[in-house]
Amino acid sequence: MKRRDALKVIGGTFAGLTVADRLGGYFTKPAYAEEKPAFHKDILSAPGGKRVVIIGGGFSGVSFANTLRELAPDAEIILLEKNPFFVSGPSHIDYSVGMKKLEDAVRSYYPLREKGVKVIKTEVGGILPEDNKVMTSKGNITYNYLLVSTGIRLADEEILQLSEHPAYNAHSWELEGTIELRRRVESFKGGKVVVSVPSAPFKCPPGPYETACLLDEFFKKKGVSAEVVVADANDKPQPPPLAQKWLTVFEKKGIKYMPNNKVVEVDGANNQLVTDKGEKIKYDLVTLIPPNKASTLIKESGLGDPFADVDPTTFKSKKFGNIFGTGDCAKTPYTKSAYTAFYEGKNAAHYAAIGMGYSVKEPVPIHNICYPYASSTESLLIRVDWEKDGKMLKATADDPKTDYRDSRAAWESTLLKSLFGA
Amino acid sequence: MNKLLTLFTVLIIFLLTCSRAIADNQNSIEYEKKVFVEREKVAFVEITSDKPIDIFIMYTPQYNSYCKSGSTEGAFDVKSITWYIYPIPAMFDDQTVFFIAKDGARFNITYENVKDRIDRLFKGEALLRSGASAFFKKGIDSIRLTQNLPELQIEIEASEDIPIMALKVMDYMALTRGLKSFEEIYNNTVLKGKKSLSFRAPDFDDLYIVVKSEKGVNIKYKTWANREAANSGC
Repeated sequence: MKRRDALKVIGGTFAGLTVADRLGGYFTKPAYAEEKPAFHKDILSAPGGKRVVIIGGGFSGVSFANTLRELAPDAEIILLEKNPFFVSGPSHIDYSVGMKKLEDAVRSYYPLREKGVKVIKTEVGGILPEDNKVMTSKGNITYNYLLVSTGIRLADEEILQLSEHPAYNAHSWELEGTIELRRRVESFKGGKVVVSVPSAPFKCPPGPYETACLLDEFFKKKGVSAEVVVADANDKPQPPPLAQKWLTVFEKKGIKYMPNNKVVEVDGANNQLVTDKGEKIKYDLVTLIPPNKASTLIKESGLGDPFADVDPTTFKSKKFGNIFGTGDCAKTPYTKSAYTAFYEGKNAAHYAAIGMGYSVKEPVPIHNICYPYASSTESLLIRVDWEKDGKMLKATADDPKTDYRDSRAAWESTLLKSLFGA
Repeated sequence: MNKLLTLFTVLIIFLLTCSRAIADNQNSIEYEKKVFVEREKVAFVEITSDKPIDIFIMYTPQYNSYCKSGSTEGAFDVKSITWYIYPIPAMFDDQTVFFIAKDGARFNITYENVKDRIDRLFKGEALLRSGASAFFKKGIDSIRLTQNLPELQIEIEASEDIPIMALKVMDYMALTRGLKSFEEIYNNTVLKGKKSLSFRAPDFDDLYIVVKSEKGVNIKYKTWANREAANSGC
């Protein structure tokens, strides 16, 4: 991407955001007033050679920062994160039905600061790989190495009326939606509950089906009459190898499953979803997960289209030797889950340290473990192991069990302890 | 001599009848097909029919409900097909899938080892992933291609010389809701062709194969997985 094009993109990306208000009028000046807007000034001094910038403080970004801190003690590590706190994504589903308090899922970035990782709260508008610069709402930052771990983007614009009327929907794939969903679930008086699933791939593939199961259980326990329906854009529940297990769970619970129903419109005024075939699905409570896409930052920076094109072993960009990509924004054969994102960050840190000249052993290949809820007391099990080059080595799954429900709680708390120490 | 000729003729007729019987047995019309896939295998179920038919694909819970009530609700259905390939991966667990063809169809099932298939993909082989041949009614008609992967090879061929395009969802909605005409979208879209269209999927997005014909047309499509697509997850 050329610098001039990038500047145009950045202008578009930041314009209209709350960031503009915080920057105190930079955006009110006419474009010709300055050669470059003031926020394109460097906000940090030139790097010394071991400056590593991380875009995104999710599971893989924080895991990368912690691991690199251990492997490269004298590296300057800077984490750029737009949110003030870390909120554990897997807990969103628990919170939406009252199984967990939100404060249990929230962590401060202070433990990273104590380890000498500089954490800057800022939006990132673009990357200039040829100049080794990240363009943030607070100014430019020059790097020697860069990790892109921006996660996924929810494409509301692919559901008609949703961008204009976001309040028509509430879902657990983002924090604000989760809080609103909880409120709606608590005040629901009965009727038809529709869980709408986008076409694969999407973050946390079992998530929508877990949501349907937990909502069904919640309303039954509360004595609220609810017909739970899963309207799925896919031909079967995801991930495909769990299809039969999910359908068996739905049959036992009386959850209605509707495959091949791709929702393209939420008509909140008439309480109905509209599919691509023009069919209408009435609802009294809806939780619609919009299509999951990569951040436009990836494509605009030339790192890949739409996901960052990286080597599945090292997570190094195939185009730029000093850039790495991990987690949901990277094009890899691994599942888009919190657990794999954590290990991707860890492994990428090893290869970044090797690249910086540290003597570091190669890490073990990626694996995934997940315990999707079939109810508040039982979880399924999935485990997948991959070879170093991303080829799937083995996979196992098991029916819902109480033991796996306990394992799920330990699974998430262990991940959070590894990231934040508590 | 005559006796010998008669005997020879009878023998030929007998052999021909037998071979046809064997062929008929292999390609007999079936109305329900239960497909069991052992763990670590993937089954490719190939369905053929001389006339366009509808197929309902069900897992055991949906099939049990169908047996009780005759309802196909909750089943995945494909309409007006004459040829269809449906993969059933059993990576974690044995899988049982039922196919209901109310007008009857011929089934041919090929089993492969999931790991072998992944190895072949990583070695650079292109492998058939899905495919269908369906009758598209006259005027504008479409089918959704879903669970795409970046670099997945997609080949579409029509039986007539008609315009074909592959659209993303918002362009498709603009067409179906009458906001834009077929011609307007066709002129401005990238993935288009006459009679045939071959391209690599740009990303994971669903694509709608849309055609316009005067009398109706047969459309055949195939998708091929390759090493690049495997790197995005299959």
